[in-house]
Amino acid sequence: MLDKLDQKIINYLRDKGEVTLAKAVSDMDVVKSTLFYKLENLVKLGLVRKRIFSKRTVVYILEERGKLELFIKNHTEKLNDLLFQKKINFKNKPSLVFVDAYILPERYIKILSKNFDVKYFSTAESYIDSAKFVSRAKDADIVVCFSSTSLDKETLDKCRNLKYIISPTLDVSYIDLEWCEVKGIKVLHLSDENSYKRNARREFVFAALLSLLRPIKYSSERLKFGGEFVYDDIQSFELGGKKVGVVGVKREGSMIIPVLKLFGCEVLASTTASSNVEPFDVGLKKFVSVKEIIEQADIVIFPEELEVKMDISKFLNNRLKPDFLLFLTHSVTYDVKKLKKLLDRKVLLGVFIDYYPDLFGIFKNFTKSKYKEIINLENVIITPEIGFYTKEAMERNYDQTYKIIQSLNF
Amino acid sequence: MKIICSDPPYLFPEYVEQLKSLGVFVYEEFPKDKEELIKRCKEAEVLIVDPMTKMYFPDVLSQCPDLTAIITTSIGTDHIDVNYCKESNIKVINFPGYNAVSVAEHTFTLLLSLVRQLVPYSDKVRSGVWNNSGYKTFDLNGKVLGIMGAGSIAREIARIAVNGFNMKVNSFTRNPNSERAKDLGINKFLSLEELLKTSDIIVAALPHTNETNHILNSQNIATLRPSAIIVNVGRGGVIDTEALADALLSKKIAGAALDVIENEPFDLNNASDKIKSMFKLENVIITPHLAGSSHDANINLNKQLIEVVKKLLN
Repeated sequence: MLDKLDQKIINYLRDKGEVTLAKAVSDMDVVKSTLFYKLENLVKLGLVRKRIFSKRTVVYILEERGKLELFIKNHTEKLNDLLFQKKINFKNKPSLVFVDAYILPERYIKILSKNFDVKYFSTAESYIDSAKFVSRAKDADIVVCFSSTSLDKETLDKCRNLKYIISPTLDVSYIDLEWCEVKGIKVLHLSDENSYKRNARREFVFAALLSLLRPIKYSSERLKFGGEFVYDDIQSFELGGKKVGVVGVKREGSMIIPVLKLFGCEVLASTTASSNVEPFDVGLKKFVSVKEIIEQADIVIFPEELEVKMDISKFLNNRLKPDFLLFLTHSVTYDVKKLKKLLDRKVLLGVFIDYYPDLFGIFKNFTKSKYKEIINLENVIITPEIGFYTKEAMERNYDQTYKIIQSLNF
Repeated sequence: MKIICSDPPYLFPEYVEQLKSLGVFVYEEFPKDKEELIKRCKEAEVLIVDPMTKMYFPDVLSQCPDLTAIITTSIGTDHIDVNYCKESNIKVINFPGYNAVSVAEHTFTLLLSLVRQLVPYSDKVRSGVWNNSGYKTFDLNGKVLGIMGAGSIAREIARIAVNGFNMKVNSFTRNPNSERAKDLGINKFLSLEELLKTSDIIVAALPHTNETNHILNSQNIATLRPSAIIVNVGRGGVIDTEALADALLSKKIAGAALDVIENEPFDLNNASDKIKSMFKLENVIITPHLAGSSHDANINLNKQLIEVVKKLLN
């Protein structure tokens, strides 16, 4: 998918015509390696052409398709169509299968049924194993999969008819994209730019954060079970005045920083090399490293998917500074036993987990998984990946997904 | 100046020591009865009191001939006969707004926990049910928040709601005017009836007075939207609890989050069957009047109390 920097490059090439890498670096003030990889990727996508005059002189020129892209950059489904050059002509109504609990509302299914042979499973689960996926998808031309299982090489090989995978998500790391490329399976997913879940996720971060600082769950349940109406033994904290570390600012991170500041927090944030978010974009003077965040912050939030997965187990020791950790991403792993020790010793005062790096393998027996160490602790709140899900977010999701499917109707 | 702390102060130990070093005499247990309280107070020129002891009324205060001021470690003053104090030239010093930030944060804690169903879904996971299908909730973004009240707490709630969550905020108060609305940062003041009809979420941040007693009752709760949610962080007596229970049990409203409730300290074992049933609902959260008592708010109160005592001594 093209991000803001890609589009900035395309705009630049439209204005300048032919440019060398050095000229582009100087004009655009982007790190050379970042710009190089971006340009090469755009060449690979067929939006930019490369001409080599000599070993030292390589120029980049915008292709006609790239010019076309400028006119339709806000239309996700058409952009996806462009990115995949080969259109597939179906002789009959293509088979469209919703393999898991994600199903479009009836009003969309009715329209799609005119051009697609639609199948869905009303008792579908949020997570399914590979065998179930294959049994449902094996004859499908198009599947709609809401990241309910790992679509690895083995699974994909068993779906011989499969031509399109539509993932109504922003993240497709559960799909072996390289193998899809080899097999000619097109993968289409939702756009980051008009993220369907932007408000849902932003608000959920604060639901999680505030419920950790003020033990709502514990105090409410205690009263509901007839406990004493006292608060002397309940330790609660204000968010205002705390130093909050945010790891990742490409998406959710950049949305929560202004609200954290509104609550009176001092914010430290880290970013990845390929992110084109600048500190001033999020009201900060500079970005810091993850290590600095973990050494200085009172609270650390992992709010979004990261380009490179991260293991923070090495930081989980008695010298850990943060009192609260929030894991709202699939990208971060940690030693659960170490977490427990720190919670028991009150080095850590609370943990919130909504997204899990290794869920596919454990969701059926979650209470017997490694998380059993912490699942029943009072100061741990674990929820089943509900952070993205609100009525408004799903309406936007359904609309965007429907448009993607409709764009396949040729 | 004889300053007596007639109730054990709800202060951190280092601040109790500071009080003692200023010459304040501090009792470390609550008085057993009125007679003991009178014994403690009768020589005081200034009393420092706790809202838990609800006995600072004429029968006690009239026994304190030298009393010139009462400092209460709270916002509310319903444990003191303020009118008697006014007539007797006894200054009543409280700390309005010391915990406005804490209460506002707790309001959003209650609201977001309720709306995002953190408690029931966390419980499901603990019991081995991993399923997020069937989960239904909504964004706060764009929703209408109706605040009953227009004090420092309402201001803080409005600030966060408008600027943090893009909500539209209206308010109800006895003394509305457009200048005050602007100062509060809200859209406009409405009558109570209009507020209840037009709001997605109602936050009650009112003190409990004769005027506000059961201001939310069976009649006007019935005018709320079926999707409406009530949050109470003011005083329990503002809402008729039985009426609220009726509305929740018959699904006339979508949920309630209460930090305060009538007849505190609340004992579920002595509550009516209806109220007991209400508390079994997943869409009801209750916390034990802890909105204003965050660690940080308490530090703030402790500091302010010491400053007041120092000023009086000077």
